[in-house]
Amino acid sequence: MKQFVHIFLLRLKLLFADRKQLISFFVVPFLAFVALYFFYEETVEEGKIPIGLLDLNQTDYSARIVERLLTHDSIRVVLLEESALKQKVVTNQVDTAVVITSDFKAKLENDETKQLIEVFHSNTSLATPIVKEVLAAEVMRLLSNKAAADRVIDRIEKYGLTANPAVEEQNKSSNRGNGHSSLEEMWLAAWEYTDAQWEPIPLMTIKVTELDFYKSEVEIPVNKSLEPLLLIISTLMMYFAFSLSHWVFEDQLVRKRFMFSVLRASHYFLGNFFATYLVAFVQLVIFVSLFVVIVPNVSFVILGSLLVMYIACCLLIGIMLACFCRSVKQALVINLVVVAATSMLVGPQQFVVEGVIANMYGKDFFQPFLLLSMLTLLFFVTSYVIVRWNNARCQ
Amino acid sequence: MLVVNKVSKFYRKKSVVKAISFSMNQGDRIAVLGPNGAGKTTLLEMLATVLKPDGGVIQYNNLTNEQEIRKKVGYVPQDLALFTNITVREQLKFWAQMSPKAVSQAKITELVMLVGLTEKLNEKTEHLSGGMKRKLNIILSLLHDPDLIILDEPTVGIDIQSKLEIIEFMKKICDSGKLLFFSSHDLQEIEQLCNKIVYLEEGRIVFSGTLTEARAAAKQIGSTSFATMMKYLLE
Repeated sequence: MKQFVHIFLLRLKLLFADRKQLISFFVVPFLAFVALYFFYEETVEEGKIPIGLLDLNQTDYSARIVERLLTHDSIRVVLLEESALKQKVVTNQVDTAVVITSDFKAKLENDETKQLIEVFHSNTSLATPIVKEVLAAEVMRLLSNKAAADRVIDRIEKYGLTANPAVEEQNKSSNRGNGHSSLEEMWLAAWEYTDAQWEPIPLMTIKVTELDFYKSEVEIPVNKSLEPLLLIISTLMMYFAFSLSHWVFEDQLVRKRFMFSVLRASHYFLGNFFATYLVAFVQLVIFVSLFVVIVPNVSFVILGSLLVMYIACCLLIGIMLACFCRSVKQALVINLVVVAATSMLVGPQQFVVEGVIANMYGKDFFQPFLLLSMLTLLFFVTSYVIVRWNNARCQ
Repeated sequence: MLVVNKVSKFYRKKSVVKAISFSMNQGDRIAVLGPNGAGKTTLLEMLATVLKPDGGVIQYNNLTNEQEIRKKVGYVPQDLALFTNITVREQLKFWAQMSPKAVSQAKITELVMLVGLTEKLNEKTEHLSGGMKRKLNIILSLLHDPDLIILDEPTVGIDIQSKLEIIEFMKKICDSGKLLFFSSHDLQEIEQLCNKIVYLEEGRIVFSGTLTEARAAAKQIGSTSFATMMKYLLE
């Protein structure tokens, strides 16, 4: 056990002695995240359906529609000039264009609901039905608010009720002259009250149940910008883990001396592995923390657990690769090839991506985690055998 | 006493050491000589138990078990077997912790003083001169006070001053009756340090004996390379 501690501390010392390498270990994740942050934001924005919008009405009613569209989760609004509107649609720069007509408010006030909004689309437009749904919902919201407010005023007038007399008196004495009578204020209050019923939870909720068929036969609908982000992060971590495993060939000459020491092969392997793991773990914490900041709906625990296993897996692959290298240059080339191949074809990165995405969609992340753990265990045994074989070969 | 009996070694079916036999007594200082590829390093590595012989037996003080022999061996490999990124002090501390025998601080201080590394204890190994690195490489193998010392070209590529210092240091170390094997191409070093020669050629021993015997045998032995070497040694 003492020997394990000695080799563990020595490896840490050696890793920390190489300042350049150490700085790159902890600075690169930050730089990568700054770059990835913008990439992610952009791709998330690009993932939304681009919708052209022209507001010819320019009233408080139309402003509400515009505001709701601007904050909608699945669409990206591009404000257009009238002259460019159709051109943008036919050239596919926007999927669909929406025009709020100039008499939008007037028509609504007269309870006219026909052709309040015009929609333009091309034969390649995909999102027109969704846009129509969104618009219909928003207009319906306005209409129902208005209907409710009108009804309140109608009842007040019908039964000869007055709005709050104190308020009415106060309005008269202050002579505000803003044109708002107490009835108008009551109408507005009724509007606001009705409108508030839509937020934050709609009056009606829908119970959604996912069926097994969807889960097993159809691919999980992945957030397309999250997948490459996870892949890039895990690939970067793999590369760093590989470069931490250079001790295998850096110790090549020293290993002859180990033969004359009391150090056991198992202690040598474990001491070095855990020392490099500790450094990689610090990097992992940085990566996970930054990732959770960028993508807040990712579980820190799930991502952390997957990456803890993933880092171990990468370090062990790195150790095996390093057994066949004789110099840093050779190792860098081999590492780059393996990192590229595993990220493009097949590799442990996939388990991380699958696990995180499955968790985001409420599915079980345990299966990818289990597979990754089994793979890591297999690599642990294999790399130990290869390191022992390599030691014997070098001696 | 070290007894080497019909020891052979093959690399991919090629015989590099061919049934070598000799015996040496404690206190002997043996130069292992021969042209490049003669099998010197292979022989030394087998004596140090780094390599296993494919045939024959190596016996040291009646011990044949390599683990037992290894505890008594101080082996200095041809290449620098050092961690470059730590200080000399850290390096000494680590290898003392790894030693098969307890190493006292007094022993470390003594060795450091003998090779003149006292001033360099806090320097990183990579910043040492070639000579200093060689000296450190040697003393790291001697921390456990071995009885059998094997040095494979320990002075290669360093300046004359450092070479002389290493030779003087090795003389002091061997004064206490240690058995030394020393491989080198520097005949001056050999004359100063060794009292016996084992001359190898193509994996066979051409000559084994004292320096005086070697001088006498120079003309009788048919080996051109041995004769050439002895000519320089005699001059």
